[in-house]
Amino acid sequence: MKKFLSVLLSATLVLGLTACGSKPAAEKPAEGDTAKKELTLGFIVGSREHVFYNLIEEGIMTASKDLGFKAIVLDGELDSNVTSDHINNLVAQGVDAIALSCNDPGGTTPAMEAADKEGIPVFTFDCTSDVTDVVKCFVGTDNVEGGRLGGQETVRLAEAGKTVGIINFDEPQSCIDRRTGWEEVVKASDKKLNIIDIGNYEGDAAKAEQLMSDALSANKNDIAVVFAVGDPAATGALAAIKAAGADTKIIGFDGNPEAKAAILDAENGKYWVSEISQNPIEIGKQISKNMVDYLNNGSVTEAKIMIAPYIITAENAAK
Amino acid sequence: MNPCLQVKNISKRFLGVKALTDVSIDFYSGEMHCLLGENGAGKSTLIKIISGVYDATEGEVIFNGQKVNFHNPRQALDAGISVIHQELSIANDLTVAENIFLGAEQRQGFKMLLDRKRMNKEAQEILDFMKVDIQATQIARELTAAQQQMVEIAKVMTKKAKVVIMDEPTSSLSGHEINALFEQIKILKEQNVAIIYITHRLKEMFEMGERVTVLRDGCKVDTFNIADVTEKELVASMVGREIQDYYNRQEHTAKEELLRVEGLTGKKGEFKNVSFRACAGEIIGFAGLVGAGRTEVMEAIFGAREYSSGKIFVSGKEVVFKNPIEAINAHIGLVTEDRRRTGLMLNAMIKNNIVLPSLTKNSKKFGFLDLKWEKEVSEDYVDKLKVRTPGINTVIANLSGGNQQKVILAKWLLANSKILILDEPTRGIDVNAKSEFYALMNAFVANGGCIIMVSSELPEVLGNSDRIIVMREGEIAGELHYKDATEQNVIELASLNSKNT
Amino acid sequence: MEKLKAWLKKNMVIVFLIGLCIGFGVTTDTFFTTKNVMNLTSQMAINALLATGLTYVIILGGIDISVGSVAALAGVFSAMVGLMFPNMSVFMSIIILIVSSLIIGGICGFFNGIMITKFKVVPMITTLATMTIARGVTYIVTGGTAVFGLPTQFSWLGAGRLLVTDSHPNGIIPIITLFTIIVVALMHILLSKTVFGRHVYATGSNLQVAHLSGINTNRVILKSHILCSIMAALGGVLVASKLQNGQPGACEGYEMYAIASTVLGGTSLAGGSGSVARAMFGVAIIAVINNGMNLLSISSYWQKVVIGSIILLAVIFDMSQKKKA
Repeated sequence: MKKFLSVLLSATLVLGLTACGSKPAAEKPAEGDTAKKELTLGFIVGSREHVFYNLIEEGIMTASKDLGFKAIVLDGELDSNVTSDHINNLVAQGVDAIALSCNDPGGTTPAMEAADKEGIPVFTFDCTSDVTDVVKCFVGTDNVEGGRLGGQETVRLAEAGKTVGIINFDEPQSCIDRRTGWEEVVKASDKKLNIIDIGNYEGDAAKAEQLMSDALSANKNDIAVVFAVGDPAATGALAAIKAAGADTKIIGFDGNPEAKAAILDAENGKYWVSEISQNPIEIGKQISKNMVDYLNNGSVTEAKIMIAPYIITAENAAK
Repeated sequence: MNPCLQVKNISKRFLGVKALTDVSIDFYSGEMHCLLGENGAGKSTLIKIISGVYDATEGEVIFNGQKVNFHNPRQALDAGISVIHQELSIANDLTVAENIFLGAEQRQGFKMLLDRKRMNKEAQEILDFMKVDIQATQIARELTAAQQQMVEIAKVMTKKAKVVIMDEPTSSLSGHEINALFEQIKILKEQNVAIIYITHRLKEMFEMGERVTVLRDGCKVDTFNIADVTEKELVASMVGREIQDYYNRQEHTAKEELLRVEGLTGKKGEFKNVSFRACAGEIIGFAGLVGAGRTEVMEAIFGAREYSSGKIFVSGKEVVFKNPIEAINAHIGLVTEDRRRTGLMLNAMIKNNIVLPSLTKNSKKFGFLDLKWEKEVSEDYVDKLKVRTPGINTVIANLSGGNQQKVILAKWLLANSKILILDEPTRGIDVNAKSEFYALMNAFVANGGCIIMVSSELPEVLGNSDRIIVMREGEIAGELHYKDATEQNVIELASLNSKNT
Repeated sequence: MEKLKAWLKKNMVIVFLIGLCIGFGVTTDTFFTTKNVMNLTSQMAINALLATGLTYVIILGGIDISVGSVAALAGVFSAMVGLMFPNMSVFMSIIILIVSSLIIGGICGFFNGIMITKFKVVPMITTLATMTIARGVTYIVTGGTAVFGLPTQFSWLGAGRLLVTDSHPNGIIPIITLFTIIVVALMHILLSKTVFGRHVYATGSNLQVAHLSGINTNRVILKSHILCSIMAALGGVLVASKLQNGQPGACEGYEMYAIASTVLGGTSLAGGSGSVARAMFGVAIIAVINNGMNLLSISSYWQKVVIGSIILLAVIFDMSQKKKA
């Protein structure tokens, strides 16, 4: 048994190693072949566990076909340590440019600067770093603007003097920005809305459900509108509102497929009426385009490109 | 001569229960002072007070002429009072030297680093001085129980203790190992150390001791000079009455064969070519030194250890037990040598322990427990075996060793065992309980059962067995009828190198 | 009086729970409303199921940290199966949910059990591996996207309520609560009243003794891990049903709350003792603290600090009681 196991183990190890090792080596472009060299671009997405980043990746892959470059996409696991290692590895592989979702600027900046010193231009998307000037170009969602759109929708949906709530996610910068934009607009409105903080859902839909049902209890179902800073929060809020028999309206954020489905659904669409959608595919395409432009022309037209979010309601959700 | 250590009018109460009442004893340097008494007589409580585990409720401890008040074992240790507990406190994964210096490590380099070299050297010096064959660099796990005990003694030697307390140090040792221990005790005595020695074995006491104090029910009965007292007198003062014949030998008549073992050989050579038979109505004694392979043979018969060749027959039919379940179904029961580790669920109630192997057969529909049955049979056996306990719901850890052993016996009786294998059945049990246990054994064989008893206590083997099988280094060295057996010839068989059957 | 004292000491969790409820009852005006109490019971359900399964493996002296991931996997699995039956009836949805949890829980538990009994991998490492693998598989099969588009019937078990009245048009009693009570009660009886349950205690109390007393300890361990994973999977499908949606990131970190509840309920991590019923008090304490502090709008960070402190206090109290005994 033991023998069999050890043989099996070493066999897997050997196979795994060769599989990992052979690919880059085989496809590495021959040096000195400058005639018509295909560009190789490295990308590090925040996390493959989020549909948002998967859609960015989709945009990158589309661009890679259209613009004719080779894309290496890696998963940063929302961990600056992992992300830094990926940057170093991409440098070692000799990619032409690197773009990353800079979720933790403090942690990844040293690796970014090192890459820049090696002469490999660094780009960011979704989140960027303010602490370094090596970033050639940033493409991201204007989350504060998205929050403002959410605020506009909140004000539109709530009657004067009613209570409106927000389900937050306190850690990611993007969600903090959304909250900032939302509060700015709601507080400025002349409808005198009563704002309550429903809580930090920590990215967990079931937790959002609990927070929402507790908030409905505490306010005797009297919450007119809830703004969810992410779609899982909206999903949880929907379940809680239906269970409580309240008629709270939901505004989601992200633009995930389930949001569109809910808005179009006869039953769920009564509550989930509006969605602030990011445009991750566009982010992926734009960052790719700017990287190629920079490598061809030596510069980019704009250093910061904000892809504006947009509102989805029942009228435009089907598109 | 002034006593080295005195306890004066010590009393100790636990939540209103008196464990010790007004006990005064003097201990002298260079002497071995034995404490004798049944379990629960207060011996353990007394040494725990001396070594700082408990505070006395009343009375005082005087050490080297000064009143002392230790609040924890560390203080007592620092003052020069060491204890070697029944359960050894050896760290299995450390080396012998590391164990010897545990808590008092030699350091170097600004006291940051362990000075392994020096520790190994000094440990080896002590071990050599003790004339024991142990390397300081060996991992403790590799040592036998007896060798580990030597390490404990080496530990005491490095501490330069003035008082050494030994709590049943010989309970897991075989004959020649006991002799080795006695050599060490002699060395300690020569170094003017006072030894407080707890044992149930009177023989050891007469061989090594100078004085003996008998405790009964928390009170001191008397202190004797060992030279002036007889075994009978001691036993009488311990139990408050005279026990006439402790073993109460009864004549058994062997009936049909229940178990036959032919050429059993272990996978790792723990035992080789072991053959014997056991019949209904018989007690077979297995004598031999610790490590002679007796326990391993029993485990193999019980399906708890694999063997490479040989045959086992139960009631004439060949059996191959892959696990204890099958052995139990064939009406075999095993009382293991280590009650606490492999015999009992210590934190469970008496009744839960008694019914464990019989649960499946006595369950109700759909595997539900029959709690009424559990209560009835448990009460029945507690009654029949005279287990001294407040009730069947008592947690078994709270019972004395003898009563725990009776519960284990009850467990196998209830499981309807016909062949009972008892491995060191009376280890750490007091005289009275032993005597009761032997009576139960006799009753079991009288009812057509068969007992195979592994024991390192020769008087026990000689006093109870019908036939005595002696093992040496994994093989059967010989078999004797009890009428032909003496301590002398059994020891010869167990330890001599030439074969003589 | 003495008896009362002894009872109080033994049942400190219950006293503490009652105290907490009274505290929140006084400080909020909504804690004791029917609605909130019913919400509270439904919020407890998931953790109750996870803690019930964990009680078994913790009594064995083991641990299972894969419960959260197994729950998530079962949740998305049931949602994906549900998508194949767009016209399902309520009855059908219950079958889908339960069968999904049996399949996923059965596979994961079997895997854990075999690794522990046959390959002798320690439970912590085995279940750590399962935790990572199950989460990975969840993301692989979903591509990181929620599984959505399920019919309303799918949410009957998780979100439905019974006893519709005028003042409560959505019903009062959460079906998830009733369902959980039934499952937990069955699991409690299995542990406390059957031979199998007794074998679990015996194996956890002393594996050697159990083995030498003719108990097939490997089988007991295997079965317990299967039960534990099935309970986790049941929790997961209920989350999916409640949200009408399979979330790949669901139940992350729930294992810690479940372990904490079990320990709060007096189950010793050393094995051999504990009970499903008592674990439920631990579940209730954590749920009440979360709910009450939500009602008081206290930050979730403080909730974590409070729950952590209470677990420590409970264990210290428990130890001091054992020492005295």
